[in-house]
Amino acid sequence: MEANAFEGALRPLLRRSAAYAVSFLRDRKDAEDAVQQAALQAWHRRAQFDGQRPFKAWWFAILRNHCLDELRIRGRAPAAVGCDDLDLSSPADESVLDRLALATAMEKLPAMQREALRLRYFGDLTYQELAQVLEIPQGTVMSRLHLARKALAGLMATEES
Amino acid sequence: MKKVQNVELSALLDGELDSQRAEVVRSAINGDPALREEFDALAQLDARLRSAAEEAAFMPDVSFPAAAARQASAWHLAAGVAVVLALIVARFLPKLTDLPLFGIGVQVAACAVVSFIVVRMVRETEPLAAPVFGKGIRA
Repeated sequence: MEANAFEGALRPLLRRSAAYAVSFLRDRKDAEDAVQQAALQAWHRRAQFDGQRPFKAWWFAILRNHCLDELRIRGRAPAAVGCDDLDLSSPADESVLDRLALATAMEKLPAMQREALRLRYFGDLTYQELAQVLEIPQGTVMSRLHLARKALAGLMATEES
Repeated sequence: MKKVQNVELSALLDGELDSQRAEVVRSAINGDPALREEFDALAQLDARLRSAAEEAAFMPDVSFPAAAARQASAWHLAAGVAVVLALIVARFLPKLTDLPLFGIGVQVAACAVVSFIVVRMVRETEPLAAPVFGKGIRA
């Protein structure tokens, strides 16, 4: 893959790539570093890219592996977000609290379901792309996402009550 | 037997059903209060997740090793210049015409190698300021 084609394919994906990395690492700076490192990996491996397959799935597989490696190296779960500093009377912080509740509930999901949700929402991947990244059939993607949503809705309802 | 499977509610939210199937699922939702309730709960969660994802998104500052791309383009440019110069030498220098074919070949090859090296050196000494990609993008 030529350098310019690589740049042209990756540039539109960077914003969602950062969101996906944030959902993993829970820190904007760490996420930015992860995207940079993964982009360098992809750059050096671009000759191996099969032009018949979607670039987005190829890229997100690299980014996902990099984020997983990051967590392994750290030897810990993603940093927890504290809620001591939140001002719950402020609408802005209510939104933060909502995000916090969502993130906490997502961490309670089985890893495979959590991963499907991350790729679907934060990475904005289609079922076909998800199937390629996770190396599972599209039908499994559909059922996994559905189960993940049902479980997450249940967890959120429990937390809110 | 139910007309639709529950997993299709998710597929509908994700826009992954073809238009015909999507219509079947929508009618089933409208005609079944339990299915409607399940779909509404999923849709509410979907909106929260979309919003969280949008909020988490930002344009990262990503750059690439410019040298790699410049190196490749330097090779191409150097090769091109070398070929052109070699052809000019072969065509216009009168001394060469008096030499045997082997001598001409050696001089042309030497000229190509020298011009190739010169162009490569010139390209290598250019400043490294502009990355191939990224250009310090930040939201």
